Amino acid sequence: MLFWVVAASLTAIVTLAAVWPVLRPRTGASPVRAEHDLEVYRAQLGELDGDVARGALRSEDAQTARAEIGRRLLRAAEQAEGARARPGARRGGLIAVAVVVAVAVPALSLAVYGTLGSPAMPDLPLEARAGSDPSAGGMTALIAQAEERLKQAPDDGRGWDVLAPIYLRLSRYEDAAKAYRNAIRLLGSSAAREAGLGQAATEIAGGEVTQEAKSAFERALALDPTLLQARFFLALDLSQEARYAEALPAWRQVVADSPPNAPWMAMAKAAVADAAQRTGAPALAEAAPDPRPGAIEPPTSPGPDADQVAAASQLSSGDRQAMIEGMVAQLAERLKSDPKDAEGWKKLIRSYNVLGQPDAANAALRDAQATFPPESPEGTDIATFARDLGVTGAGETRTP
Amino acid sequence: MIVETGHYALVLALAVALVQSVLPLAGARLGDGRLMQTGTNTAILGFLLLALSFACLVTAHVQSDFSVLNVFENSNSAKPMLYKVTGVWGNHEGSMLLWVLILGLFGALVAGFGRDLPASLKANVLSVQAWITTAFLLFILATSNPFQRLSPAPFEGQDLNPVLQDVGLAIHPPLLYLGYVGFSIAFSFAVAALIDGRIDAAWARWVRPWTLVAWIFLTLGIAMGSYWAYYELGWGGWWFWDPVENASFMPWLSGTALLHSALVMEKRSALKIWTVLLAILTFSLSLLGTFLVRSGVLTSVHAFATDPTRGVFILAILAIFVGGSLALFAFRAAALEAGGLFAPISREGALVLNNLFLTTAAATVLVGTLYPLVLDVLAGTKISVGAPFFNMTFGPLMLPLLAVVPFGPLLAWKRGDLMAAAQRLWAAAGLALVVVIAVLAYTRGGKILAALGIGLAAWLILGSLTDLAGRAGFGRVARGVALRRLAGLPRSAFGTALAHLGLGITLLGIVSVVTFQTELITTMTPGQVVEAGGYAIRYEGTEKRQGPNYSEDAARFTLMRGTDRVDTMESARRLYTARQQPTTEAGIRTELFSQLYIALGDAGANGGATVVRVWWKPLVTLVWLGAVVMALGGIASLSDRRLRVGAPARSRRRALLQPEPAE
Amino acid sequence: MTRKQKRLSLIAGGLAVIGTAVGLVLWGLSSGMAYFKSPTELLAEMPGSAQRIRLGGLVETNSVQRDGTDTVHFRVTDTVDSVPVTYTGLLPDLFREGQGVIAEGTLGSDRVFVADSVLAKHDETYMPKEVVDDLKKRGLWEDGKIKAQAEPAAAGAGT
Repeated sequence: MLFWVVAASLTAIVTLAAVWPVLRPRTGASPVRAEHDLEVYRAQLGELDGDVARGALRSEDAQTARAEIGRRLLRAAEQAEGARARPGARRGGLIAVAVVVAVAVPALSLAVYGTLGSPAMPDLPLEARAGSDPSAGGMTALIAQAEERLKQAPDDGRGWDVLAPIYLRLSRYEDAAKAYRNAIRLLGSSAAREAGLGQAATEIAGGEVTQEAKSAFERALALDPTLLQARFFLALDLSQEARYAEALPAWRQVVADSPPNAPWMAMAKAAVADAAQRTGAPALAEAAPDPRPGAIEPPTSPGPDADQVAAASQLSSGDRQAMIEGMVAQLAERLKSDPKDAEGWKKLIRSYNVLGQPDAANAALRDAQATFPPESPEGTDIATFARDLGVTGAGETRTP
Repeated sequence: MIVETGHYALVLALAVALVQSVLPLAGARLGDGRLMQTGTNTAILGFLLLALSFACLVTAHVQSDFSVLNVFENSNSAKPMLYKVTGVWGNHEGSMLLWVLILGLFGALVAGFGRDLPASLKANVLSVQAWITTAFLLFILATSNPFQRLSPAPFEGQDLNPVLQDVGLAIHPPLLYLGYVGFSIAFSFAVAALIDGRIDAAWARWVRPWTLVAWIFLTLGIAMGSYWAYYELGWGGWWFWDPVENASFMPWLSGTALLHSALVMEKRSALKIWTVLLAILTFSLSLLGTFLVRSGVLTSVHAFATDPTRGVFILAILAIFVGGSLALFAFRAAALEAGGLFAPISREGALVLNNLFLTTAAATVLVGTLYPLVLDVLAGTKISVGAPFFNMTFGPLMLPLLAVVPFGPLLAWKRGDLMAAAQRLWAAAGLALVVVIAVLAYTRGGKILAALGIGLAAWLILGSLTDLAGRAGFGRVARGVALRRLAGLPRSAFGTALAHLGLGITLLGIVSVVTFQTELITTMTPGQVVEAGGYAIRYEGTEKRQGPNYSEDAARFTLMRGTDRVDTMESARRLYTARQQPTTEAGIRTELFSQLYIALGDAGANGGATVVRVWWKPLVTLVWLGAVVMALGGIASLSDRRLRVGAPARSRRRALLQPEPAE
Repeated sequence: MTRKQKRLSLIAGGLAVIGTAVGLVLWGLSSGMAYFKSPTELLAEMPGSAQRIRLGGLVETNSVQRDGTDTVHFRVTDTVDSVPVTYTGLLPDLFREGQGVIAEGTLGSDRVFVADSVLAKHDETYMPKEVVDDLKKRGLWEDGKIKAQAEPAAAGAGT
């Protein structure tokens, strides 16, 4: 609001000041140009005399120069006599000009600014933001802002659309499902929205692909048949319903289509093995669990991070623990040899935290900070991330 | 609020520039004083709006407001405050805003101080100035908007390129821009004269001081940039004939020519058409420089813009303004009244010679800079034109010019006496010859070129002093009288002498560093000693340190003369953490005018050893000090009251009755 | 002097200077300019040692050798062919194995390229423009990366 007041007053002042001379009564005729020339020549003559007086110029040289300037002076004087000031523009024309300017300046400014500017966006100086909510690293503040806006404009489909996946990553599944539903209602269906809704519904049901989730995934697939996320969950649904004969090809397809280092790959392969075993199909070599680092995703990285948790919930808890620990160990190995991987460190810290090994998590944080000093952007990022998890890096006692 | 206000002010400035583009020009056509007056108002308003906009951007940078894309991309909360501020113009968008701000500043100065100009000339000048402003504001808003927002806002920014995190950067671009953009005034005056079809007597008097202002800043800016590259890049060189350097050097050459031809025009009403053309060419070269640097057609340390749409946009601006003004020139130049003639041996003749050499030299630099680009576009052949080309072409063109510089100020206007001038330069020539012989003796005849070069420098320095001494009458009148006369000389006389003196000083520095510099590259282990510049330099070892946004390996050296410890020096390799970018921080020790320069290379495989490059650079600082002296000459000349123009109505009586005493 | 003579002498002087400048420019361009070549082109053409060449490509992985003095040996490759290079002097900050580089100098008779300057520029992501254009032309460049390029060697090679 204040911005518009400032903008409006700026515009008003500027427009008025720009047209002000036009609105004034006519001033006396301005000097003809030849009169200006006269002035310059007179000044030159004066300088000449000054030079001679100081002895900087020999008098005979001065004489020639004086004659030359004198000739120009006479000619300019002639011109000045002959010239007459022109009448200038008519009053009516000037008023028309003033009106055009007074309309065009604000209109043009508003039109250009309207397409380029973001008038509603406040300043976000770092100092002010740091105080807002240190624990959530500002994410919460941003969400709160967005929620506030959506409360006032609940029909802002884009707002819901942006917010929904953030909720999903933050494990606020109820909110995510609501946001997705609103986004679909306001903006129409899209593969990403339907799949997101399905995933949120699955998470609400504790990892079980419910009927609502299933139909959401099916709608998503209808819009985008290649969407891996939806196919993953539909395969999971088949496994959960013990329809292993159908689940096996579905999982195999997921494995075949996923990039080899996809984070959900380990789960999918495990599921293939599981389904193969149950249906009595030969266990394929590729079906062996191939745990890779990155199976446990930080909330910021793309991909269905909750998928692994959902898939893992299908394994017996012992298997799951062993699998996860294997992956974490591998990740730790890799980071030892190549420590310049901020995302990797975040994964590791989070994994230790999930596994209930706070000491290991603290040690990992310290190791990470040896590579990324706390003042570097990555360092800050890691520190904030760890703080959110409650990992402080304290405790120098032992390193696992 | 602040950010958006800045954005809005920028948009409003565009609207104001559009008004300024049309109304004053129409006023000048109709002879209407009120319409012409709008030019003054809008020029000042436009500048205030741009200043507001720029201040808002600076605030956003200072507050680390990462919701502004420009701040996010070029700043970092860990950055020291000074570099947060200088970072505003250390990037493409911000520097373009600074460019336009300076454009607005010059427009406002003409509006504010141009009260005594013929009203229609002033109105035309302001309108032409507004055309340039409009073009660049459109460019900024359409392709390089510094106020673009980012939502959600990140919590940490990327960083300013560490090579650019330097005090030199705080001053170098603004100075350079003040120079580049300052020539826009000369351009606007030239185009205004062409539109009018007449050149007022006040025209030359006005163009010269404005050109002088721009020239002073450009001289300082180039010197600053050269010194910055010298100590920041760690390559030990101070001029690389890099296209970016050439881009600033070409307007300097033609701007220098313009200064001299404007002098002829002011004093003798000759060379009018040529001066107009030169004014157009000088600003065109400035625009070309902006295009080369900003469009990313060159790969260079300075080219931070890589977006092709920007290049095309600036190219269009370049084509419209250069093409348009040259077409206007071709069309209208015949309407301008030609000036008088003069004998070849005269002050005018000398200045024509100066112009001839300077513009030809600028043309060779232009060819060397553009030829690779043109060849790449037309034939797809990739070549590079480097220092050898420029040394081979620019050098031979400059030498004769430098040799005749001392004659110029000694020749009389209209018809000069070469013999008389030669007689007065006798002493200077003799002393310069002594210098040549002395250098030859010192080097045992080994460095003939060095001796000649230093002799030439001495000739320039002594020649400019001879000019001053002659004017004061030393040797002809009593010393006391001469001293009094010296003090009473017009400041423009000092300006000329100082500028030529500075040229000689720079030449002395160049020749001395090129011919007498010693360079040593070696791998050193702690405790090892090398010799340079009369010192024994012992490498003590390297320690790791942490800076606010970098980590560094700092190597320490002890300087010894014989067995006495003289000083310690430090040279470092830095790694800027945010960008993982290494830089070299050379260790430099200045001794009077010479410098010892130590740069670190790779760390050796086994601990402690490192590649070290040591230069002894005799008289190297004279290269830049000379430029400062040149700029001082410009300032002296600018302060000469005779450059000012009186207003007809107010001072007519006084001027008629009593000649205005000039100091 | 008459008016005409004055005018003529001015024009003659101007033409003389401009003529000299044109001559200098042509001479300078013929001997002062360097052609950009990739290793493959260089080996195909084998220019004489008088021709200055800017050799552009990537520093071949595991090719950098220092013989204890300040002379460095390395190979420049365009992933098809590679050329041995010797250089005496300080390498730029970002000279790394697997990274883009431009070496300027001449090809010796022993087919070893003797560089008198090496450019790698001061930017992490910088790849000399000529090198990129050349790689693109021959389809060895994709999505801002070199196709099938060996992993850049660990930081040990550079500073």
